[in-house]
Amino acid sequence: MSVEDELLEEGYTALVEINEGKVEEVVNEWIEGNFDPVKLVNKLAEAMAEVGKKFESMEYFLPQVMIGAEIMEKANKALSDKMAAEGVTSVSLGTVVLATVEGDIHDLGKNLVGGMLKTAGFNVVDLGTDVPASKIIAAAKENNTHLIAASALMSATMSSFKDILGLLDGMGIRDQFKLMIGGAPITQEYADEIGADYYAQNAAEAVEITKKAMAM
Amino acid sequence: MLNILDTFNRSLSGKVIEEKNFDNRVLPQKLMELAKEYDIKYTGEEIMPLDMDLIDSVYSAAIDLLVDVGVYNASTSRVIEFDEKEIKNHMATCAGREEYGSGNDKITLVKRNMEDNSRAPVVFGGTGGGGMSQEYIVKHAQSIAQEPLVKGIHTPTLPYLYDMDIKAGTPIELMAARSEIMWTREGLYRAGKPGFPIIGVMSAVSTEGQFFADAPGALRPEDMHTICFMNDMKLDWAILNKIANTSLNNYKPLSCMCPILGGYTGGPATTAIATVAEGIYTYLLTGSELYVMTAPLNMMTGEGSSPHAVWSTSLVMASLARNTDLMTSLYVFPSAGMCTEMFMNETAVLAGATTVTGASHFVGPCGLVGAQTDCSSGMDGRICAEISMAASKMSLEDMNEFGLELAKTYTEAVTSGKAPAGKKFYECYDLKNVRPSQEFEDLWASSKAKLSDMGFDFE
Repeated sequence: MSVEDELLEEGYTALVEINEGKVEEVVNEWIEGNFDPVKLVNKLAEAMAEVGKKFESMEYFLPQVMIGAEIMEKANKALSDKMAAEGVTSVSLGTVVLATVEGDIHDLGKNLVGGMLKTAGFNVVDLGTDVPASKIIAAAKENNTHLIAASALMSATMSSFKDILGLLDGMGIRDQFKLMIGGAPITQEYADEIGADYYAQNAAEAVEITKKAMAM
Repeated sequence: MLNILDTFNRSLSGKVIEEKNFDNRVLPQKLMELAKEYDIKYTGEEIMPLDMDLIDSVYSAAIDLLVDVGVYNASTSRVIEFDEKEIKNHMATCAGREEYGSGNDKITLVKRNMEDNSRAPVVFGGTGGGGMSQEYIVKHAQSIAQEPLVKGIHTPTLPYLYDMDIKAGTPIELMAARSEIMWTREGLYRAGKPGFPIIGVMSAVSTEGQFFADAPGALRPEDMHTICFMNDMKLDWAILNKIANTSLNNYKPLSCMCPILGGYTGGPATTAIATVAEGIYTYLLTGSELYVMTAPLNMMTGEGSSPHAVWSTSLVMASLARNTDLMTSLYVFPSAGMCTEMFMNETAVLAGATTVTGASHFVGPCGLVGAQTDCSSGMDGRICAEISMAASKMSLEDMNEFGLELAKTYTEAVTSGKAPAGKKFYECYDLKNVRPSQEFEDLWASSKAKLSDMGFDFE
């Protein structure tokens, strides 16, 4: 096996095992060896897909997904810097602005969606919880993305989705943004009723929808 | 309970940790260490814990967790720390009983033990926070209060008020919070149960919204004032403000927790350790003699009635029942909707398993995991009460066998998101007379007959 192939395998295994130090080591050796950064980025993305599968089968839990996503982000950053130096464009599949709506402090589902999106190769701007509609829209504009993902866990905070849509309408920019919503009390019927563009029942679905929305 | 100013001071002086570090590393790593140290694991062979050493180990691990990790105040990014002696001393002050409600409808809740056939858990009907439209909220409350075996009510969330959306932190939220309780009380009056104990408030998420329901005609000091804690060993100023409200105004508190399976606390075993620790510190912080929890809800599927969730829940109940006088309660949340056989089977497993492992109290049941609107009725409380009365006569081993068998009838459906939606309140009740439909009565009679054949001894 070539040094390049060995490093790819080591990087893959280290990330699947959530071994932060080892992934960092592999990335450094990769850069020092002057290998093609895209190859390692793709291999690490495969590893994160495996982490996602382990999460779905309950072999792994949320912390492993979140730490894995952090490791992946760091590796991507180092490899992107290398690519930028070589004149290759970023490997990010696009940016998603993510938030729990105003009045709601539940962040577990949102964090999972953020982690899974990062593992799938998206850049995620996570605004946190209890975020007003105006701040969400401002962040989407600032980050040049057309996809906003928002969650609500309470019936009493669901109406904040309407605030986002209403504000986009009022600003005359509704057609420039897509809104994906989710959370325990949310249904497809509700999403249709308020005019949200997408409803994701779970984090895996959110990733699939994001891929489609970004391709548009 | 700890003095509120003491908790305040600890929130400002404890160790500083970045929140994501607490969530992703500190808490899960300690949980994994403790599960390994105490050999606490879920094998899938049982739906309830049968080994008393395992049950007691969970309690010891929970104390260790609380001492080592503490409770994270997200508002200050600091850890509220406890020492072991302090925890044990406080837990020794649990009374094991509490009164709720008033007058003729006042109840005394008494702590149950494992395999306790001296009394069945007390059932409070209601949505457990799920939605109920304002058109039905009064009759829904009446339907619950007129059930002879149901002893209290958990209020629903109003999804809207006068055709307007509820918006947190605004005047309409304040109005919704007060209306929720006032309309519930109207239903209680109609059923002739004005002193029926109430658990609320659900329509307000903000602190000011919740406080606004503590008013004449709305929530009374002797009702149960819900303090919903954050998951995963965390709280914030809003929660401490709610504790100050119950403590300084002499209102009865109710500590509430919704554990998540697959989240920061991990799988069934480690989630059980964390949930026991959470029960302990909620008592220290609020003084609530009753700790109400949902079964750990699966992070991906949202369900909480499959065998691993039932095992984890029963382990929490058993651990607290054997080692403390803290009373426990379960939000019974089947995945199937009301008026379906699957709803009744899930209720039989959830309520049955936790009755035998020492639960003192139930809320619900409410179908569709309490997440939808108009999906609850008084009949559901009756079903839960009859099941818990029958289960209180069962042994741990028999209930385990029964639960494993019955869970096979629904596990695939709940884990694949294919549970039937069932019926709405207005579809399975005669609203004119506020009585369950004949179809609903017949369905329960038929389900009960099947459960009897499997070993349940209904009165």
